[in-house]
Amino acid sequence: MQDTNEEKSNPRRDFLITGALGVAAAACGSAVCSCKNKSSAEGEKVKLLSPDGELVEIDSSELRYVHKTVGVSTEVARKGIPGRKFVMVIDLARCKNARKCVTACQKMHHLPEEKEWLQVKLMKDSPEAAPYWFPKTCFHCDNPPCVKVCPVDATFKRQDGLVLIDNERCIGCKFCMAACPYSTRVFNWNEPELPEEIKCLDYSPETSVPSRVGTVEKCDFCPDMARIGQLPDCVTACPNGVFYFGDENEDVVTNGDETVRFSEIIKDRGGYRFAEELGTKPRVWYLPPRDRIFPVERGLDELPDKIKDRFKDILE
Amino acid sequence: MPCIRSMQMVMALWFCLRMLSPVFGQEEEAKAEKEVARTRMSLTANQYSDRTITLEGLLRARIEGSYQAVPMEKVSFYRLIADGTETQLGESETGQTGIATMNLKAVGLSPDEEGYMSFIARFEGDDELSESEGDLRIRPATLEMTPVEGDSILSLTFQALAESPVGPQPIPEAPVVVYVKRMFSSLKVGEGITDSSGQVEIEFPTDLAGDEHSNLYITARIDETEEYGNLVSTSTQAWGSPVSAEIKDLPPALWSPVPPMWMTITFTVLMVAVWGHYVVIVFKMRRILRIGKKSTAQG
Amino acid sequence: MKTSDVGYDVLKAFSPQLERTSTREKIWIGFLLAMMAFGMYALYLQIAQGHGVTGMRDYVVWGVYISNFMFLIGLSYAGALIAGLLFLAQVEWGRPLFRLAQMMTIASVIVGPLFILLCVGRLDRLHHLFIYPRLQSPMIWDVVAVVTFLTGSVLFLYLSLIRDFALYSQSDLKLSNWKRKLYRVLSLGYNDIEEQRRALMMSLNLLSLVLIPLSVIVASILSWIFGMTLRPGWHSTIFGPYFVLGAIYSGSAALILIMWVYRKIYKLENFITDTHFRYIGYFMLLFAAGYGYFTFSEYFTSWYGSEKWDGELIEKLFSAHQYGWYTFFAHAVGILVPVMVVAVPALRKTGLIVFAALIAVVAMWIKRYLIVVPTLETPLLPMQDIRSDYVNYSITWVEWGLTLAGIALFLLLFTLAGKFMTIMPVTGWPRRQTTQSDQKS
Repeated sequence: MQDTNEEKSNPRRDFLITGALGVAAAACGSAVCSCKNKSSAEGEKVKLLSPDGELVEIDSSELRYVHKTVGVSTEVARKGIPGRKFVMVIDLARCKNARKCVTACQKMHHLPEEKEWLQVKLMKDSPEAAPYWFPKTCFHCDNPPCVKVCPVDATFKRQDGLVLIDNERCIGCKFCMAACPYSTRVFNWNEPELPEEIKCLDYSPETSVPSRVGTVEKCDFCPDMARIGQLPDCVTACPNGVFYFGDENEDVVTNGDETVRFSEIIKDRGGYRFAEELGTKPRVWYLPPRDRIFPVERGLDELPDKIKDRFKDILE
Repeated sequence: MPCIRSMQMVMALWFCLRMLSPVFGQEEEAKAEKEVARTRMSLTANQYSDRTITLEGLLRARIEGSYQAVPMEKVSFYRLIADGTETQLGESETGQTGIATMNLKAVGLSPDEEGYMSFIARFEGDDELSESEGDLRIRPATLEMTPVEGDSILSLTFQALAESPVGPQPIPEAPVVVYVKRMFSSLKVGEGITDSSGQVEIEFPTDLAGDEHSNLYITARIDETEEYGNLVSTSTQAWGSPVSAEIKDLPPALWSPVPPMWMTITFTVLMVAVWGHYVVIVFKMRRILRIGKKSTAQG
Repeated sequence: MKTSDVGYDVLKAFSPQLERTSTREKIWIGFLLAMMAFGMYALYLQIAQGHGVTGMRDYVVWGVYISNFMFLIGLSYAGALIAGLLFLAQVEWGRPLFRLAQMMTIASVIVGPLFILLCVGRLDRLHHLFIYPRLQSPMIWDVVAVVTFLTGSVLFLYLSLIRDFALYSQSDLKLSNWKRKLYRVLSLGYNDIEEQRRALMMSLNLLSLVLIPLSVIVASILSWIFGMTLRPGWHSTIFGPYFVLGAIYSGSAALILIMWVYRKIYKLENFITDTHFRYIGYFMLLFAAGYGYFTFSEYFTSWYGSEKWDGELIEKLFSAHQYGWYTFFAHAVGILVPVMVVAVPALRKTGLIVFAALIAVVAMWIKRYLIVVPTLETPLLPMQDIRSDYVNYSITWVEWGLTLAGIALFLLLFTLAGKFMTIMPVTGWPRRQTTQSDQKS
């Protein structure tokens, strides 16, 4: 455990690095993120810093993005990160459907635009109720219906609470998809369109990259990022601090800016789990959408029509 | 851990096909057009209770309208003496977060007549990035932390002292914040303001989870003072509850790799019952065959 | 080996198929092979391009394939149950139907699982089922159940054929040499010696005793693929027995159709009489009533309680602009018509019983579709997908093609079986004509 040793030997250094990460995340805003934007017309020049500090200007159509992390082997990925119990808290009062989490997740996992592991639903609990935005990740249930039904142990529950998929073992029977009551899982119905550099990467259940045809995939809570002490990309991408992520053993969650006691935020803000009555024991908690900081309509501003269209049933 | 293939981060690794391609002419052309990006250097210092100082120079460049951290660039640190001469302290390279650090022993640095020390961090610049520098003038000071274990209460007492030509002086009315290191960030667990003698006692929570040896990594800070920079004190205390880092096998469950015992038993009983019958029947068939052979031989 | 007059007549009726292949048969087999070739092309597309060529998507992950699977597996369990009961109870009149039921079992338990393989995205990793099996998965239960059941029913058919094989090999049929030799080998030297007969009868009794409960268990296991999930319309405690009843109901109806087809083609009016249709009709009536009762309980409790999720499904199933007409046909027409036809003496005619059986078979296929698709179209969270084609399911030509290929394979198995065996037992008939004594049994 190199990481732990380092933590022990030099807590000061780690403390400083953690503090500085915010800067890096903020800096991602412009060039780095726009480079992934495939829709930018050919011939458009983009300036960016290469890893060795060179400032380069290149045609945006020629940019290639290689995965952020190197995954661990399947054997290690099946065990989980020692001593951890990951938990997520989603603050519904802050969500305005900015969809930065969705695009960050897609970028992190090299997903096409229409494939959303993380979805932002517009929920309306009853006809009279006020609609609210509801970001939905995989719930990484402690009593996961999907894992129960997997015939080949391709999707599995780990010690640290995560439910992951080994897409090198998955036979694609889709039983887990039928079993998941939250429609979290997605299937590769066709050969995924990936750049060559991504296709040739070594697969790890922790990175979930690259996608493979005929197999199931889903939100993985980015354990590859956790291994290097970083938050999942949806958490850091959110401009409103909606997502809190952390370790339930430490009783702490953070959205990058604030770090709070998990038990306290659940107690103080009336945290709940979605559809508790199903008995799946999700590891994702929601804070109810009261005292919202944005009106729900804000989430529809600037949305392309095809994305806005999906909410028409609720908006009618 | 040998099974982890490689944990190093391949952060923001970008491939540029054109750069890799052998069309050098275009590359040079692109360079010629390039304007120099403006950079900015911010210098801060952390003064630790063990009388070491860490200088941190954050280098950022203005790219497409916003400042972005510049990794892997050389930053030189200097000390400025009263007569205006600069002594180079050393050089360091910025990390992925754009920060270059330099550790100093405060003991060897004598402050000027007013009791201050001056530092400069300088980035020389190149043909793409402009040069920039940041400076800092601080007084040497320390924040001492003493853990106090009561019967059922844990607390930390602090003493903030500044050096001056006339001897140590307490730092009054300074906000001290106590953090505990957690997986992704630091949790603020207490705060207080020093009294006129530069002292403060801050209660420490008793319900925190530590590592497998109950250890908590505590950091106390007085942040962003004009006079002293950041004062930092760290300590490791076995004040948490232990969290086992052992990976145990999952219990038998529907969702684990091991099925519940009753399920295995039921399955085995059913299988043995049905396939047992099949085996019996196959033996009967063999019997029919033998009798048939015997009768043919006799007939 | 001696045979009775009846047995001789049976052998006579089927001997043309055993002796040679007529042009008509060749055309028929060619037609079936052509249909299968079309299916193979569809399968090629599905494997080469991925499951995107089907109508299945992330919400409706299963579609017509699994409906076919459920339907066929239902037929096979019913076939085994009926054959087992007929044998165990030594029902005299059931003798001509015995092998038809067994053949229905085997053909459908071979074709059915092929359809579940079509739902598998990575056929190249099928061996993972054997190297990494998880006993907790209903899918593994089903794999084990189908393999066990297939073994048992093949064994059952073979055991009941041993005496026939012995007879074929000794008969005056104009058989090619290799065929006669094959029969001799397969007959295990059976020569109706007392000890041989005892061993054979004991095996057959034992196997029918195993197959009857086994078919109930495996039909329940099939239902648990659905019952074990947390989905409306699936997560039901009565699903096991519901599937058992549904299987036997559809199976008895299918058996009536098969009886009718064979009577027509092979002119078997002497063996498969109107009485047989009536008796199997009674059987169908019994299970139609039981199945109808379960259906009523299922929807009535769900509708009465009208929990949110259940209520949405019920609305989908019963509103005319969604699945209303299918629901009406599958449940009202599909149960009431067969019940009426068999229950009302004036309607109890062979032609009408066959018509009712046809309705029952179609209704039960639609019922399987109604179990699978509307439930998957009713997720807990709103389906707010930007891909409109992902929301609802519609069957593509690839799926139709493979469904037709499956039907063709089912028929082909029956046709080929007719080339190697008489579809009615030749041996074991009493000395007198059974058709006259069946009233007493």
